[in-house]
Amino acid sequence: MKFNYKLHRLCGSAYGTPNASNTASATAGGNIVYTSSGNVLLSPVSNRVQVIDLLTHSVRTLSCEARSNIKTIALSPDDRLLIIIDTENHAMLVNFNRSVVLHRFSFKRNVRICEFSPCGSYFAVSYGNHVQVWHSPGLRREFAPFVLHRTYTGLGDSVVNVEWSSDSSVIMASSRSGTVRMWTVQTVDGYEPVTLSGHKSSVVGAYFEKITPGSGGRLRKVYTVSSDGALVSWACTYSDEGKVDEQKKDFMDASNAAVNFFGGMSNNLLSTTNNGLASDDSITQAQHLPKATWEVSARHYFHQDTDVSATNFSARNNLLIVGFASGIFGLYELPSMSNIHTLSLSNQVIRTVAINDTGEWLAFGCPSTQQLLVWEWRSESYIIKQRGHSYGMRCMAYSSDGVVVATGGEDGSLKLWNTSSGFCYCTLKSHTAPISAVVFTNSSVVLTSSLDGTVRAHDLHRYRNFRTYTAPSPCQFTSLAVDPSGEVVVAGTMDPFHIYTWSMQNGKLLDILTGHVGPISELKFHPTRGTLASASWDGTVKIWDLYKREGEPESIKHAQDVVCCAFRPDGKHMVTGTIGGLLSVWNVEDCKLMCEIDGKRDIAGGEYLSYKSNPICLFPTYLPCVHFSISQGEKLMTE
Amino acid sequence: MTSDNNSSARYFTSVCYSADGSCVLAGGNSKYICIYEISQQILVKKFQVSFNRSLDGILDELNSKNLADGGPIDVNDDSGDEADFSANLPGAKRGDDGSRKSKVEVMTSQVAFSSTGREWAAVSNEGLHVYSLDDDMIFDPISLTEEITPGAVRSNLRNGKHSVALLVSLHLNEYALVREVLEEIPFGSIPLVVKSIGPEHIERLMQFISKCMLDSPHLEFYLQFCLEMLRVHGLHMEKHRGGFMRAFRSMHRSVQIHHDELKRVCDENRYTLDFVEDQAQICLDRK
Repeated sequence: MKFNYKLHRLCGSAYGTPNASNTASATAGGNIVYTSSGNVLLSPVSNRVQVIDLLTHSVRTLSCEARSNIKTIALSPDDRLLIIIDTENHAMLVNFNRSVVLHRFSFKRNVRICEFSPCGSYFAVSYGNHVQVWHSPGLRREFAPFVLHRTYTGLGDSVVNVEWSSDSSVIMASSRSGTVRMWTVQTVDGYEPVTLSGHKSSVVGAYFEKITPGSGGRLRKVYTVSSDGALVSWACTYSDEGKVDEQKKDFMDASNAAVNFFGGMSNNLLSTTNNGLASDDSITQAQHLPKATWEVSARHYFHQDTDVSATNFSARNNLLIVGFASGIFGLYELPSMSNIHTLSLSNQVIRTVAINDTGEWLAFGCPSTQQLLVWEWRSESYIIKQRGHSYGMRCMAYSSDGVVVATGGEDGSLKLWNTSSGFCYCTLKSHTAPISAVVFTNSSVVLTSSLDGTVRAHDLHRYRNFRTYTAPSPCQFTSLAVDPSGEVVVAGTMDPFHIYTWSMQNGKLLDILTGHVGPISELKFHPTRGTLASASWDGTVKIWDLYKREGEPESIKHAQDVVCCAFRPDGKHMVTGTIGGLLSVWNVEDCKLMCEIDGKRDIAGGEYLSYKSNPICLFPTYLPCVHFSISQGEKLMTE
Repeated sequence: MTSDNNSSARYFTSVCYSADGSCVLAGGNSKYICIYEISQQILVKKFQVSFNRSLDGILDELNSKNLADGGPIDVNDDSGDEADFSANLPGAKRGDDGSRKSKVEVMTSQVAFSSTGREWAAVSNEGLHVYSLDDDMIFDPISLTEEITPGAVRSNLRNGKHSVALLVSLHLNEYALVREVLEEIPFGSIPLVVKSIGPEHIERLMQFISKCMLDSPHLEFYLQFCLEMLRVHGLHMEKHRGGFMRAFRSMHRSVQIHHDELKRVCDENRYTLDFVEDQAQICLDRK
């Protein structure tokens, strides 16, 4: 047996941070990015990146890991380089195809957004109140691949969004102060950076309109969206235009008429002449800007009661997507600003919005529910709708054939995952309290025990709860097991230290096994015989023979509280673990100790912030699981 | 107190035997998951679940600059910087003062091996980590001699000696090569080829077949292979049941996945046909 196991996939959430503890970090999330093909979606989950293939409907996790939760990611236009920036402003340069980290870099100020230029030779980052443009690194490993091109200043508050013009010569940044500023990437003689101020609150997005062939390769229009729900469209007029442009237009019309007259490949010729005019002897959009004046051409309002939390614009399709803090999104066609449709996705903040290149698939991320949604707006259907366990995952079980994984969460929901695709395909919400254990009986029945005082059996053909097992008095179930034939269900409880046994078929309580003097931490059935092993915090593991009525159970004593146990698949050995970090292997036949493994040194490592800062408290004030009991007290006495 | 001497708080909360019973996988309230070999009682491998510093208990040594008398200083407290959409108390200007600032501690609450033995999973604060064996990259031949080369495999294939080619490729133990040979074998000669395989190669071949079947369109071809394997070598497998458990499970899994897919399509078609029929009936009745 070989042990080169590699992390293949992180199931549980498709977007957001499952480990978030406070409300501020729960609503923060990175941005979703499509690859250039538009079929693959990159979604940051805590400090990793999930790669979701929308065509094959499968998900994999990039093997590289950021130092802390990811704030923003950017993918180069050729899909080769990925820049990942985390909440501590540490950047990682990753070869996307091989998921190899090429370089690590630390930005000194807060980076909120990172964006590659359309040509791929630069990338821009927001840098506090400034914008920095860096030369795009190559795929080769270098000592210092990041080279700064320039820093652009002049905004009053931190930068929220950075946008490139289509030929990568103009850059525009919007800030929280409600202004938008436009710079040329290279210095252009006579150009003073323009500030567009027409909003009352933070500008969430600013976008260039697509350069149409008739515009002469000049920027004509800019749309800005602010968080209070206003959209301003800015029109640009050039002082050198007018007569010359008219002549050009006349000439074009004449030539078109001539082409039409002679018939044939009118469209083809037309487009080539247009392209010839548009390129205009390789004059960039930036070089026209000194003669430009900007003015407000129209104002629109979204008329939603809540703030705009995310926007995105597809210049190719002239589609504006606006996500609101109430979980509603709107799709608008510009410049007419006609609403194509509005839909309520969830009741949480939509933090990020993405649209693929063809403009078919919209992707939304709601970090507080860890939701990722891909919506095809033409057919009005979901391509992907994934959601994680709120408050995290607690237990899991593999099905006997290894195709399905069932997980139970702190929110009381049971989720079923397909191991080959990595997607959750069913969520069953029947419990009202955290699920403490999940067990498969055969490939189509899952049992869950919960702290709400019920054990429930779920049918995987009809996806419903078909039987509920309860104790005579309310109690919290902490452990669960089913005998190999699938006839008897047993569950251990937290407070009366009993083990309840039910008949699987009719749900009747068969027996209550008493004898433990501490909470039952784990129950396991012997794989071939009908005996049951119960591990308890009272420091014993008891072996019960359920089919023999009389006689005391065999008790195996440990020095400390037992928190886990497992049988070998052939049923000859049993391993138990105590809170001292000791693993003991027992021969099941005669209950003799075979060997012990002291894992305390192996598992030790990592310092807790909460203990370090409080030197008086030698022992943790808060325990991740309440597994400490009697011996914890003893230790405190002895030390 | 440093990470070296505060090990008292760390222990395993979940253990699981591997499918063949030789190893134990154990995880607990620490960042590590350990695999132990039971007969030798040695640590075989240790996995770190996460390197995410947004969790507590990741760093072995904390930076004292982030620690003050009153508690840890939140270095990246950009809550004022982030636009806050949560409902605050009326009049509150700095966000929610009651919100928790502590980091979540890293831990694994459960570990489990898959029955196929090719993967295991752990539940942590970040979700379900699925670790799998990816041994495509390893060159692990068995009883290699000078004659056993990829060239020999291909020349045998060209000469129509399919069973020899398959044997040599099984010796080389490379997925791409075995797959190439398997796909070359004509449908009619499957029984012959299967018969020529010795008992020492059966398990390996079954694993390869089930892996190929997963993403291959040649479903009937591989099903025929499975059938012939069971027919010819069934007795041997029955005798050595334990050793074949993993192979059986992966084969069953592949067949099951295909079965489910087909079933879904067939069911959908049947329901659609039923619907169309019913609609036609209704139309007729109306007339």
